[in-house]
Amino acid sequence: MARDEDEFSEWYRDQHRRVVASLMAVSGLVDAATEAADEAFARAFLAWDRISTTGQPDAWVFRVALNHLRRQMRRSGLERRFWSSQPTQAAPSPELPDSSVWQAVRTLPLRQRTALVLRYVADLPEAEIARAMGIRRGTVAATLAAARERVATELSRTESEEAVRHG
Amino acid sequence: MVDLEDAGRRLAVGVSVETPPIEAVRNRADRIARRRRLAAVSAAAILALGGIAAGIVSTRGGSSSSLQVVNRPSPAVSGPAPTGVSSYVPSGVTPALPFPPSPVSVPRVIGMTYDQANLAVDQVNLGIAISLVDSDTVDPGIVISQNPAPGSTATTFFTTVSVAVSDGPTQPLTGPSCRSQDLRLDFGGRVSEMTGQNTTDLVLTNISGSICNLFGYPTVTLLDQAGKVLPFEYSHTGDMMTTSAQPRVVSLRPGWSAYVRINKYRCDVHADDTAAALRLAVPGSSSPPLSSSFSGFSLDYCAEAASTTVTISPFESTELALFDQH
Repeated sequence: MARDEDEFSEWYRDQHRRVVASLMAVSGLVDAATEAADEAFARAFLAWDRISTTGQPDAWVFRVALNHLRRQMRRSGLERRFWSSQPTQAAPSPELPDSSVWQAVRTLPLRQRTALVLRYVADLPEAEIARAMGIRRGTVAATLAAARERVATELSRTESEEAVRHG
Repeated sequence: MVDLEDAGRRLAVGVSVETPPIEAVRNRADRIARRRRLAAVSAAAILALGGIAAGIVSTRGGSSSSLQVVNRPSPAVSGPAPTGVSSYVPSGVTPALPFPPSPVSVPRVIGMTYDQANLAVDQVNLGIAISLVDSDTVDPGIVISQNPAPGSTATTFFTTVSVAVSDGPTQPLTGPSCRSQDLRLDFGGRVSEMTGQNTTDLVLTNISGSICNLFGYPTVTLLDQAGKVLPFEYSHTGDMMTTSAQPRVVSLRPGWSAYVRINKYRCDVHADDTAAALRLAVPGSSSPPLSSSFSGFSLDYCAEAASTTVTISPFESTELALFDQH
């Protein structure tokens, strides 16, 4: 029992920040991201016997956290305002590094945005992204390719706008 | 082309989020496990009896509105506290329930405070539903009546005892407005907060020798350790912890108390300062405000959008009336 808990603690300390950062990048909301992460890790604690043997606890916790985040949004009625892609929306938080990148990521449709964040912030391999999002692996690859292209386009658009403004 | 790998890595390590200690995870897991077991008990009860209901009903002003469930029998609390991961019942396995329900004598709770009544009813594994009722004969916060009657036979986990709690006189008592010097300011007991909420109740006790009345909202100012006024905004609209009810006159006989709740959302990322004391002025009183230092409780100040507003409740006759009413 103690070994199980040690193992859980180590995994939790390792992953918590990454999960919160990912949920913040997806939702742009610090409090909702923290709450969803806390809920997901508590559920993971309860289910640790089961999920630790699957070898993919990361995908599991992301799936639970994303579902909880979505439920929170829906329940609070904020979903329409914050969840949909709005090019003018703020980046996750002003103190975060690379805010222009995350601002561009926020313009992506939800599925592309989630896939991109799980790949680059959560650092999950495609197979685990597929599991976390409940989609096929082939779909993950295609979604990521489309997302990268769109972010690049969005960034070059904002950069050229900046250049015009300052030039 | 932006390097998403690098940006992702920087975000993952750069976000200033505190990882709660493992005990916090365990506590939350414990609450989830209890909730699941309670849901299993409720489901069994609904199947057996066709439904149970527990809640608080406010009859203030003639209209009746459902408030929140205050207490339900929770079989989980009697078992040993979970100590580790493996002690939890795996999902998909029906947990052991303290069934079958058994007959029990309904305790007498009339004359108790609602906290005492809650406890007495919970101890025999019955549910409780509380309604707030104006009363000219019973002091605020005291149970006026109950149903089923004391001594009658009820069934554990199935019967809900309805109690009516006094919310103060039906009409304001004749007396002047309370001045600061008529009142003593204390902090109330800790409130079981929802996630992220920082809630504290203030108790204003009439220490003068005669009746006085409070109406509306206090003017609250929060100060940091150095006595600097923190630039919070104050709201009277209510929130998830705080009633949005309109103010009513709270009449205080000598020794009676009025209650006020202050609540705000925590600072998620970083606290710039912390409130260490508060000043409270009552409406219409020109005397110096009351003041008190926080102890065992803190309110962080930061510029985060969700966190700059402090919700203040109107004066209420009972602590129960401070809760969000929906």
